[in-house]
Amino acid sequence: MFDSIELVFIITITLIGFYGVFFSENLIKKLLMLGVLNASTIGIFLYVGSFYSTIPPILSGTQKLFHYTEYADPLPQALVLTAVVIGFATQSLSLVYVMYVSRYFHTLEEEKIERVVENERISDLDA
Amino acid sequence: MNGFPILTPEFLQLLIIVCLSTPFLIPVVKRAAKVIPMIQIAFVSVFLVSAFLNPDGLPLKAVFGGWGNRRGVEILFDHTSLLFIAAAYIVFLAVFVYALSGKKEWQYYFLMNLILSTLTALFVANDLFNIYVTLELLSLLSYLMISYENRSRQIWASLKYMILGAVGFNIFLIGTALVYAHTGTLNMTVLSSMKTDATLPFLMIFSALLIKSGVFFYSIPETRSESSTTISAILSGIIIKAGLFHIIRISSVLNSPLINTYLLWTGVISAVAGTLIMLTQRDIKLILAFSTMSHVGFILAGGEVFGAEYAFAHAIIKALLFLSAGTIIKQYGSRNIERIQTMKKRLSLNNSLPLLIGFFSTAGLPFFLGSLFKKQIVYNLNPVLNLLLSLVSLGTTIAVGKIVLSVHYSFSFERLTPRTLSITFLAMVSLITGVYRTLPNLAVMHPGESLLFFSVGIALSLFLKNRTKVFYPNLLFKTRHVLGIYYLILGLLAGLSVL
Repeated sequence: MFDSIELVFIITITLIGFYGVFFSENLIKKLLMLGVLNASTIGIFLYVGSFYSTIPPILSGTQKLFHYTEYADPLPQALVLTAVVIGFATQSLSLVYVMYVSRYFHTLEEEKIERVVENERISDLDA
Repeated sequence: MNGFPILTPEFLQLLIIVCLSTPFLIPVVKRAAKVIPMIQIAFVSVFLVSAFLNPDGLPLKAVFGGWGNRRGVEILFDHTSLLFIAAAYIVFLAVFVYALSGKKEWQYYFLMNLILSTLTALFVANDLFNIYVTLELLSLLSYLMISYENRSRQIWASLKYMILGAVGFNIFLIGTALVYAHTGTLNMTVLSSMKTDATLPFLMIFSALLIKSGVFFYSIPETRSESSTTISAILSGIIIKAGLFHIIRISSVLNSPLINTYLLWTGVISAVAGTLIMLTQRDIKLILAFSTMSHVGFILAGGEVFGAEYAFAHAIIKALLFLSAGTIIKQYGSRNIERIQTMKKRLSLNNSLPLLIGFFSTAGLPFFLGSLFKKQIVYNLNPVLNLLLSLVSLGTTIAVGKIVLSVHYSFSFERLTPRTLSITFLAMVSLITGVYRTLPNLAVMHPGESLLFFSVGIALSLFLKNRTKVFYPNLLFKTRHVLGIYYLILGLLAGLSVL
């Protein structure tokens, strides 16, 4: 399983991403770690695509048709393009929300925000 | 195709394209913002009715472009899709009518219509990547809608949901990549014919879908309780069904005992925990949010056939209850049932009858929508789970009964408004479909038993109404704890699947 150095790298980055999202208290750091996680997912797709070969699947005029094991599989790359765009959209939307959160609560620490939100909820219910 | 020229793959493709483009008319013709969604609903309804009247014409399959189903984007419209899309259009019709009474901008209609179109595309998606794209689009739109009123708590709930969702989607993508590496295709039909034994990738995919379906460990109930009435209705009613739909569909083609056990137990735990927490709440919307959690458990435990039927029933009932709760909150100006009890205001028959119909349906009274499928789900389980889920069902009656018993009723009608019209419509739909579904299956129903359960529930509800202590386990719904439990369960199951 761990025969290629790329795969070891990708798995390490994935684990760092999972670890970071879980352990960072600050929201900005959390979102950065989500970016890391997203990048590692893209890496996995590229790895899957280059299973047989890393030669790009582009024909020039004189070449004959390849056998499918001789070039990189173009489908995962095409798919991951969508994932990159969606990841970018999620990232930017969540940054906008973090901006709002810092404006409302004047902090980016999760614990503090949770406390404020909970107190506000209970007092609103009794009002 | 025997008198139904609409039921062709080409028309299905056209339908999806039309649905995905109509919302973009709204920013262009802002004045027609309220009309354009209605036109789309009418257009799709024609297709749905003809599919319902001509069930032999299903399933419909189509591949976009000439790529073949191994590599191309395939859409599949079968009976499960019909149920879910019908539920989506009924709920959205009611919500659009309800929204007429508030002054909403064109942006609201644009985003809501886009959600509806995405749902249409999602309920026919038949390959893993298409599922990912439509589900992610749906999630982005729902994050926007949760925080539509721009209140601080809405934004916080939405951000928490977003972080959780982003982790889930990355896990979904990793699972998808592994499935592709194993089999070379992402199409569900092809995958099911391959009889693949790739448990680990599908485990990842299912846990990501579970995040989107609002089960106990993986959900943030504030998203449903803090958002405005119409958004809560569509979130609880139909958006959480997006994850459930694909769980039901994929698990029916996959035959992995580990995954089936995982789904069943997640369902049971979610049903029990949701009900226990629901019993200790005094906020109307939180009660309904936790009730959703417990009903999702029933749907997961129901599996392929009964689960889908129950999901349809739940979509309509929960939308009806959330919209009725909206009218109560509007009239009383409070969400706290202890305060509502002390007020002198009375609910007119236009508002109270739909509320009661919604309550009878959740409580599982015979001939109301949902009662039959709940019974079928419970009877198909083993005796221990049977007893457990029957008690859960009793718990639902007690908790929702608290809402119904805290309101005062009057015996007069008020003038018809869009709000009352919309909840009356949903109540009618639930009554008619309830009777239509129950009549052919009278043998399964045990009316006496249901009535006994119901009266015990009401009595307990009266007894417990002012005696329960309020307890909200907000510790369970912090991102960190949800993520921790999520990693733990996923890691544990991944270990089991490798062994």
